[in-house]
Order: sequence, then C-alpha cells, then structure tokens
Amino acid sequence: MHRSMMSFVFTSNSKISMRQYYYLTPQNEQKGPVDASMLPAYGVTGSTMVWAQGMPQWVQASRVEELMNIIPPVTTAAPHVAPAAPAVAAAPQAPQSVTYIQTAPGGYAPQQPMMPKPNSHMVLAVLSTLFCCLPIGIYAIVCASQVDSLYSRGDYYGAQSKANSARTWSIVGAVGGLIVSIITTLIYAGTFAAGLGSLSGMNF
Amino acid sequence: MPKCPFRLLTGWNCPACGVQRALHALLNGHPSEALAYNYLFVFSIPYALALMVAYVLQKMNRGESFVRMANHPILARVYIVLFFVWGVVRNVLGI
Repeated sequence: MHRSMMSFVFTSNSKISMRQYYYLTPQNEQKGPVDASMLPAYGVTGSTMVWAQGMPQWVQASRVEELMNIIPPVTTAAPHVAPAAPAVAAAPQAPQSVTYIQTAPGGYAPQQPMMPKPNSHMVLAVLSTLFCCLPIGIYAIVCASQVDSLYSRGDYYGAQSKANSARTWSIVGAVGGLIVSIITTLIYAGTFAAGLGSLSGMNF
Repeated sequence: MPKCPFRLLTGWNCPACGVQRALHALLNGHPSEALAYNYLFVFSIPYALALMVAYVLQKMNRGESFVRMANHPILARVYIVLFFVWGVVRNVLGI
C-alpha cells in the first residue's frame, strides 16, 4: 500500500541512472541542474523545492522517492530548528509559499501547480530585426518562438532559458546595430567632411 | 542619416533597409511613399504593434485570446520566412 502510493506520486525511480535536479535556494533563485547525489552538497534539505525533467511540478525534496536515501528527511532536520519555536518548525509551508508567489514568478505556489510561462521577449526580438541591419535579431525570434512550445511540453527550464537568450540576443542585435551604425556614420561623415574640405577652395 | 552597414559592405539592401527613409516619409505625411521603401512593413509593423499591445495586455492580465494569437509560433515563422524571402526578392528586383 505504502509502496504503491509513493510510486504513484513520482515514477521512474527504479532506473539505474539518477536524474538531474533543479532546486530553489532560500533566496528563491533557481539553480541546477545537478546530479541527485550532489544535492546535499549544495545545501538541499528535505524542505527544499526541487524539480527534474518529467516531474509535473516543483515539490519538496523529501517527497521525491529517488532522493529519500540521499537527503535526510525533514523530521531529522527539525531538531536543528530552535526548540523554543515549534510552531515555526511545524508549519514552514504556508509562509514560504506566500513569499514564493510574491518574489519569484518561477517559484512554486500550491494553488498554481504549473510554473508561470516566461515572457518570450518576442517584442524585443522583432523590434531588433526591424530597426537594425544585423540578422542576430532573427536568431532572437527563433529563440522566442520556441518558448511557448517548450513551456507547453512541460520543459519550464528550457522555456526560461530560451526566453533569456531571446532577450540577450535582441539586445546584442540592437546595441551591435547601433554601434556599427554610429561607426559607419562617423566614417561617412568623415569622408563627407573631407569632400567638403576639398570643395571649400571653390567659390559658392 | 546613418547608413546601413550591411549595404555599405555588400552593396545589397538588407531586409530591414528603408526604415529610416520610411519613418521620414511617414513623419512628413506620405504613408504610401513610406510603404514603398520596404514592403515588408505590411507585415512587420502590424506584427510588432500587435506584439507590443499583447505585451501590455499580458501585464494587465487581460485579453488572453489576443495575447495567445499575437504570440502564436506560426506568426513568428511566417515573419522569419518573409524576412529572408523579401531580402532576396528586393535585391533581385532592385526594390
């Protein structure tokens, strides 16, 4: 009974190779991927939120069967918390969840099992191709257009990283285009001025 | 006006060339002349505007169907294909 319930919650645990996990730091930053066996070295405890490819949502590390032998369960970690405040140790979930909602759009919220879709930065990418002659903007559009499909496939990390590279390359394209334009304008203006200079001997 | 570096280097018009001339014509009240500088504007300017509107709507948590439509991957693919096709066509035909 117990066994079947656990495998209902998280599958693919009897495989030989362990999955790579992402985790949230206390500052609510997404880190990873790291090998499951390395998670304790990064300070991941039973109450840390983790996610790996194929999991529907972020969960506490203690709830992932694959990690049970690696990460000490929450109950053994509880004595580390000041015994004078058992209420805090007993119910860390609710306040934590609230901060996730407010501070990190990529964080975990119990009412909202899916991670929110990252902004694809398509606007930046299209504007970059419109106003700059550099084709880098096209690469940014390609990245931005992949965000949605990755997201709908459940690859939240992939979607986020594509969105990030879309933003990065849009900015690179725009700034690069601007710099190159300024340089060419200066050269152009220089030759124009030189041309004027040679004409200045003439009478107008 | 600054010159397009792509044009200076290769002598060809890049797919986005004509933006400055078009803006200049538009600000002087000649929309049809503006269009003639770059026919890709027929698609790219409404597309960019729709994306900007969708971005604002998304921030306001409104117009979900419009947001989804504007961000549809097919539009992005059409834009990329048109971008390159237009780049070839305009140089072949000398537009």
